Amino acid sequence: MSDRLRYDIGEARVPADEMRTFGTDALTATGVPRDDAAFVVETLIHCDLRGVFSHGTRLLAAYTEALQAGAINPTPDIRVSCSDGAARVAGDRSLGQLGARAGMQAAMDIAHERGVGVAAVSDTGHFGAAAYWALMAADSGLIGHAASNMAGPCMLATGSRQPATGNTPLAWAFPTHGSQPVVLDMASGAYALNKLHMVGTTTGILPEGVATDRDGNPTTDASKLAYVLPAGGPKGYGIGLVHDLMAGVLSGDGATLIKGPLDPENRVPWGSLFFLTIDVSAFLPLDAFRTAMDEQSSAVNALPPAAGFDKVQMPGQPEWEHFEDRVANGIAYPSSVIDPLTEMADRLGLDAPAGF
Amino acid sequence: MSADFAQAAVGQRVPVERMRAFTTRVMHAAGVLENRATLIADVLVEADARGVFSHGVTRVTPYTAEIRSGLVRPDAEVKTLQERPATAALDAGGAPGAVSAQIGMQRAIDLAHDGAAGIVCVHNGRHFGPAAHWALQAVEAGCVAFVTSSGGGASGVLAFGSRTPALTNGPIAWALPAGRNYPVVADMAVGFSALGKVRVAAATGQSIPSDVGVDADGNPTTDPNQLVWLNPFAGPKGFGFGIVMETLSGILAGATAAVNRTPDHLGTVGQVFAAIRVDAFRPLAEFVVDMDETIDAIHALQPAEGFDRVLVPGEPEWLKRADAFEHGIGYPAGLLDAVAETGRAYGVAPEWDA
Repeated sequence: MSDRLRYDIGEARVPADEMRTFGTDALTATGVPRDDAAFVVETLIHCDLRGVFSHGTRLLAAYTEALQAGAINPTPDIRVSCSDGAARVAGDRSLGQLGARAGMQAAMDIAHERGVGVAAVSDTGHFGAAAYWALMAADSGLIGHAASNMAGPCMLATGSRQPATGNTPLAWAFPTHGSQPVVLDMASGAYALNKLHMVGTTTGILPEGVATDRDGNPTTDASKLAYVLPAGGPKGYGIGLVHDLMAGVLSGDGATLIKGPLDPENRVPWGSLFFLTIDVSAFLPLDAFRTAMDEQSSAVNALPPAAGFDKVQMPGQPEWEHFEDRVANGIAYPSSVIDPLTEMADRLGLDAPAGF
Repeated sequence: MSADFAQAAVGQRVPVERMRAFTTRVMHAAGVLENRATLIADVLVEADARGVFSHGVTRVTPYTAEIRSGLVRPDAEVKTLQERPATAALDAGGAPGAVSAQIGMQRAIDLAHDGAAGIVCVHNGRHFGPAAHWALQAVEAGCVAFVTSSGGGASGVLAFGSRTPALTNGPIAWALPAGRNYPVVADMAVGFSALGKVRVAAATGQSIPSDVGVDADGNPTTDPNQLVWLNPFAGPKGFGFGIVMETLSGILAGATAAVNRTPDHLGTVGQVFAAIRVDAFRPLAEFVVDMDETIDAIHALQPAEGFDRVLVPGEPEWLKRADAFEHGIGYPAGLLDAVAETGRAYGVAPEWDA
């Protein structure tokens, strides 16, 4: 949603195509076949284009490290089995985006046939931004829903000092008439940890009431950041845990708490995924649905803004705002993206993009 | 599940069975067929037993008024509009919300048992009580459930950053089966809290946290008498779920859009029920063992100051329910006054000290 945390965005613009080449070269250098590498990079650049830098190409630094350490399988044999409208995907320690593509594609195929499709993906990695997968369904006229659990418990329960679940990401997307669906993409915690780390690196100070230290005490000192608090107290805890369970336990991998901490040696990004798709036309003509979505957006945009707001926006709208501009004119990156990717370029013997 | 304020003192305890019998008789006297009256009573008394008084027997007053006004048609038949292998659209025809909800969730369960998942959208519905009730119906059938509905009232929840409301205070709920432990249930309104809690704070002279909502000028207020609109929970996240709720129950299930709902024109409610059969993915017996292992691990976490034990979502309500079935439902003082009056109006004497 609306990114209220400030990044230190630089001046120079990097063309999306240059990032595509750079990112694809980085993944192929660590053993990923070129087609798969290009797809994974495309999902990350989509995030950069929406201004969600925490989940964009920045992640390539961690992905290539995990690939070099052997924690991610560069050439997985991903298996999809479908029966009775359920898709089960075994990810074979793949990059999460490859497991997610297989899962969401299967859920979409089932929904076109039956009206609803559900997929559970086991043994894959970090799937990037949840929005990408929900949008994949919306782009083909379906309602899309995606959620993921990962190893590494990092969000406290209401009333706990220790983490009970992950900062579970989830997304819903709804087709509209235009090319920019309505999309809710959020973590169940007050903030994505990635964002807090990025902001903490820059300012040293965290917003109040969003994070705790290792002992579960609230802190605004970025150097003490250990866990995130649930968004909206018990509601965020509830949302985080049920999506953790839907992704982790339905797939058979296990809940975040049972998966345990990330392996400090190779930081295995063990992810499990859940996808739900709904064929709108099972309930009303798709065109009528798109029109109703656009009417809803217009009604929300027409609401008088509260003090401190210029306008009232739909979920996802702030992220779409500069999308076309970035597609046309390139992406200006914050240092929290440039630094790790420059290091990665050195590590892999690649030239970093000129705009860095 | 919502913010912890306006806790009322317990007035008296009423046995569950006695409350059910009373509620059934009132609804029956108001023109609802006996088996439907029993269902409605079960739903409302179950809510009270869980401590969710905003969705309990206090509802008989508006429910009976809605029958008199013609908004609710007690004997309307629920009809199928269209079907696909994993979906059904139903028309409730204004039947009591619990009636179409029970039929709708059962259809979703049946679809999930024919295949792997079912989603049922009910048009022209009414208030169905707590969403968790219907999610748990699917859990009993070995399914993971998701339920949502537009709110029964006027639009009263702000968008993130708006001065006037964009949403009804409708629910979103999920439930998953467990084994030895209680099922995990997360059931919440998209608003910061139930408006009913603000009213309780006003009636008992308490202040409210400043992030609950705003006054007529759009400013945050701690005075429950000044609050006119609720904030969504957790800002943009609650608003986002509000749009999910309004889109599924409004556009997909044909409810009156939130922005067009006013106190004079409430329109219809959409109800959405999703059931996913666990053993389409893995054996249910293995799934519930993994659920228990997770729940046990959460119980073993170190509690924060002021908490005895770390609970899973839905567990506080399960514990209250166990206590209510043993010792009777502990109603807050004064809560049953209007209910008793409604009962008397239908010739049904309250079976407690009223």
